[in-house]
Amino acid sequence: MGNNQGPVLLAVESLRKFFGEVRAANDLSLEIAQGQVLSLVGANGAGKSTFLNMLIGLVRPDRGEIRLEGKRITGLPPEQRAKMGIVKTFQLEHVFDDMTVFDNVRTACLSAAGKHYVMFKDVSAEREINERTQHILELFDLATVSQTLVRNLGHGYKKVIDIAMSFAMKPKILLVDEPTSGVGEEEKYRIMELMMNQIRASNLAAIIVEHDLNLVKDLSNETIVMHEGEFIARGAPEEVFSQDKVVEVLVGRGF
Amino acid sequence: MGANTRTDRTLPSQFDDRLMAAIGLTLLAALIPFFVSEYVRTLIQRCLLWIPPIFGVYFIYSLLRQVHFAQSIFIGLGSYIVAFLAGKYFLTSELLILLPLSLLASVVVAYVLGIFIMRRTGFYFAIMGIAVTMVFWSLVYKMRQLTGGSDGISDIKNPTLLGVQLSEQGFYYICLLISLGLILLMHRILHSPFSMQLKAIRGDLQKAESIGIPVHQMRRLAFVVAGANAGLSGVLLAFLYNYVGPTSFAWEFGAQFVQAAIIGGVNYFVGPIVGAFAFVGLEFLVSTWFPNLWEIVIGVTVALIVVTVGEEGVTGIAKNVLVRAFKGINLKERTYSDGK
Repeated sequence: MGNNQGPVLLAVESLRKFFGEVRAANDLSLEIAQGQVLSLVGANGAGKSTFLNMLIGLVRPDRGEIRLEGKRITGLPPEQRAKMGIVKTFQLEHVFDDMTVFDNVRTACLSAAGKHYVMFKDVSAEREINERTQHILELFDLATVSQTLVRNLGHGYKKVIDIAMSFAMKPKILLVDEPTSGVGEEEKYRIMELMMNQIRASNLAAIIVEHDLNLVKDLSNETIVMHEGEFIARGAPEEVFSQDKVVEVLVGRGF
Repeated sequence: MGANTRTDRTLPSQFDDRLMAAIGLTLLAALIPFFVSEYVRTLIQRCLLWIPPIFGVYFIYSLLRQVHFAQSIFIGLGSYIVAFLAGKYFLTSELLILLPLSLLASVVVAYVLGIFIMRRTGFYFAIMGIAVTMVFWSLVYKMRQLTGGSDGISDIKNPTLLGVQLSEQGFYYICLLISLGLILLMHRILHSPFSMQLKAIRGDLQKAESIGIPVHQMRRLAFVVAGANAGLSGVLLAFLYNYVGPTSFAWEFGAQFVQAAIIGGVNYFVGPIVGAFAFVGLEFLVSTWFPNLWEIVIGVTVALIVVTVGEEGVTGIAKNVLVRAFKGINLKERTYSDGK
């Protein structure tokens, strides 16, 4: 329950991003320790995705600082942050459609191993990479579709593939943007379980954006509520969801 | 679903078909100088030297889906290095010096240009390629005292290898060897981890970045790989014609490699090879019979191919004919470019 399960992994200090009049992030601060799983809730447009995108470097903050294990990463490009261990999965489908499932995950494994510029070796000769790919496919229940082109698979599969690729990066902290959006009720729980099992098994820190408040209660013991670019509450889900201002923000607006 | 490179390549029957075809064609190319006129041999040599720059276009298109009009920059670089060092300011005509020198120049220039050109994708990439090529062309055209302007530079000495002057036939084999070497190298590169990540960049840039792929650096390097191929060809083309003019820098020349790639078929690894022979062969036939219709014929051919078979090209047509004629032959070389 406590905030300090280990040393601070990620520290965010007064992160700000305005899009014209819109305050997407208004001086956000946060600390997260190794193994700590946070859920992030809030209405559409509250600034959740912007916050995550600033953490991985897709959106440049107006001001503020982000530190990963004490090192300042605020100005680094996304690929370097991913290498350092901060990886995000996407809300919308972000997978490599015209590759097989195997090649999707293999690409992430190649990248994790730093094999970007290997030009004169056949990719099938990378034995360790291929074995690791196979292992990850098995962890995420993807082995049976390993040779299927991703574009021929359903939305739920693509979500899992995206998550599997993120895991292939050996992250220290995983940012998950609505892992179950657009997925059927039954599959929702399957995806969540697959993901949470791996997060716990690797003792990862994670920030999970999720709309389904019942799921939120199950997946983490700490939740943050975001509203108009600010964190308005933080604590155990049951406790937070009973606060008046939170109810107003989440329920009052038809959340 | 069985679309898996690894298993495809271990199927002995398929692999043997391809290997036999490759060996047969190579032997044919090696024996040709003994049986044909000097003119035809030069023509075939030209086809061979067109293959590497077309492979550059194919590489950029099949992995990144971008149209590369700027190959003539590197042909021009290689050619003018020869024109200066083995012609105008004669220092050496040693291939073992000129080829590495041109390779180095191409790599450096491609890397620097790549910083700008590769920032853009799609339409803008194509247009920037043409624009940059035009800058090079007009520089060469206007610096008359240095480059001879529109007259170009002739009187290029014959090439030597390890100090020994090469005969015409000897030079033919050098061209064959280098062309073959580059084809094999490109085959390797297209199946490498590098290419797989390039394909990922094309598939989803944001996802590629977020799994740690250095997208800009890798795209720049892809441009370097393409340019290096053309740079090497440029050296040999200059020696082949003993003349270098500013047209080797013209963007229309670069566009011809794109046309050849389309004619060959960008869905097939052998596409650039087929494209080189088809384009140069067509040009030869048409300019012999109807000298004034060349541009029209090539334009109509490209348009017809794009409309009818698209990315399949002549290779696709030939494959279909062959498959119907001998059921069971599978000539399709799978690369990471095909996602069907």
